[in-house]
Amino acid sequence: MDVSFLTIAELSEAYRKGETSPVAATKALLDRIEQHDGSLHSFIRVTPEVALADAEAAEREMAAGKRRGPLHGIPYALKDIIETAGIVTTGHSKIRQDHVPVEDAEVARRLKAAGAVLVGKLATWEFSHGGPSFDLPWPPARNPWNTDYLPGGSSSGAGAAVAAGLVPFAIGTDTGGSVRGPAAFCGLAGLKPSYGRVSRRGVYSNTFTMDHCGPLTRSAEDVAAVMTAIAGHDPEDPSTEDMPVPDYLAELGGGIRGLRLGVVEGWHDGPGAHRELGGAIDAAVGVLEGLGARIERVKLTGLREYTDCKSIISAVEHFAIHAEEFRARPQDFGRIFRNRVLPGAIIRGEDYVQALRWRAVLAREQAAALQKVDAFVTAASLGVADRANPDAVAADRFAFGLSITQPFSISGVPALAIPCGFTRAEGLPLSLQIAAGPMQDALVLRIAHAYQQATDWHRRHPVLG
Amino acid sequence: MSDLTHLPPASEAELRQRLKDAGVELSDELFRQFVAVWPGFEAMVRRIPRGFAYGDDPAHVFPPLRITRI
Repeated sequence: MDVSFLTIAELSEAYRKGETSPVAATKALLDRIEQHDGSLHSFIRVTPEVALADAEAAEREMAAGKRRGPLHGIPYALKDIIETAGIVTTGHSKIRQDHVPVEDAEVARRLKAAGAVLVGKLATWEFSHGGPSFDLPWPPARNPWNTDYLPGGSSSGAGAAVAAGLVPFAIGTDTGGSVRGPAAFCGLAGLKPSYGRVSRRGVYSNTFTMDHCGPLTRSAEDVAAVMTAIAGHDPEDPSTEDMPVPDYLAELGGGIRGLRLGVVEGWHDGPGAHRELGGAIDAAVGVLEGLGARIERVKLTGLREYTDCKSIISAVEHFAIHAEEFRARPQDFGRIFRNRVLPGAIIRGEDYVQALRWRAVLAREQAAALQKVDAFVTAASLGVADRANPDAVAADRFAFGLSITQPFSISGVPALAIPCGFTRAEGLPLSLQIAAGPMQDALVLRIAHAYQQATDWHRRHPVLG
Repeated sequence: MSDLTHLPPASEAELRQRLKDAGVELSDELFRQFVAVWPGFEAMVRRIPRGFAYGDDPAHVFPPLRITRI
């Protein structure tokens, strides 16, 4: 049985029917990684011994009649800023290339408890912020749809590995769009959960109040399965909320008839958008309307203001995290990371606080709009994947370009990217973004699931060379 | 709301001094790279709205029961 592009749900069902097993599936995917990752560079480190031990344990439990849940025996990989006990966690940086954590991050611990099978650690932009970079100890990941292109970032390896059929799911992190961007560029589902829903403990910090762990998968249903395992209060992470966790899988059904969806004006159809994006979003909105949703237009503050606000807060906080290293060994950071974060050394305290006050204004504006609609709909990226061109990325246009994901990082609401088409020009994925109010992750997933029941964009996969 | 977009750009000498004040010493090459990107950040900083009311809280707050949990 070829397990390469099975969803979590399909692979779990195959286990139940005896069509394959955790050990067989894990071995097949390890072989596939060996065969293809030389050109994709999605993994920094593959962990076959850990994977096979986890898979054998899952298989023994299943043989004894024990099923831990939807992730039991399912292979996955972690972005390499998520700490793993006894396994080097590099942050894709020379600064931490030999760092071996003594504890698992909380999200890794929960996945282990759910019986998932860790097959390795994934490429990222340096410390989830500086990239794509060609001057780090490991090369940047490539996009499986066309390896001349990049998979987006910063969860670059996560996007590439899941899209390439190397693992059914991966855990990335999203501060300004680092789950949603790679999901968009690789044709995947990627969720930035509500802030406070998933623990950040044991994950290299970027921007304290915008850092989120989230899954990249092949369907909204699979996102729900992963969220069921990783969401929940962590007493040792003061950002997490102590409130009940829904059964995300159970809440997928029910459809979207009567829901009010607000299409944000002037974002995906504004400056900098790919010429084919507007048509793809219009078509997706048409599908949602056909499923019974009521479509309305919503006006929010422009992307420039959101990007300014996020960038200032991030630069200051990220510099504070790495300040000692910047003082001692600035040359050991990659050029892009250094130049994006070093401004945080000289942005004044007042500027930082004013940006935080502006953030509160922007978040309240979204909250007010969500009194009139149930969810926002827009694109998950203004363009498609970029070419892997070291000369082009050296100029680092990413530092100042507009971001369509950062508005929901600013507000901390759940936001999900799902594929909604492919460009004729490049043959690369386009992506829809759905966001709702704080802690309404289940609603976002329900809308996306309804869309994916009516479309097949998420069923398309790249052909690897 | 007001902003600071009317201010002149920082000079290279000012930037080197501000980095030094932060304890960061860069080689000439790394400083040249920094000088190339700084204007983009400076523009963002200066576009941020000012003139909030005294009581307009920032988005970071201090939840003591969470922070001081032992």
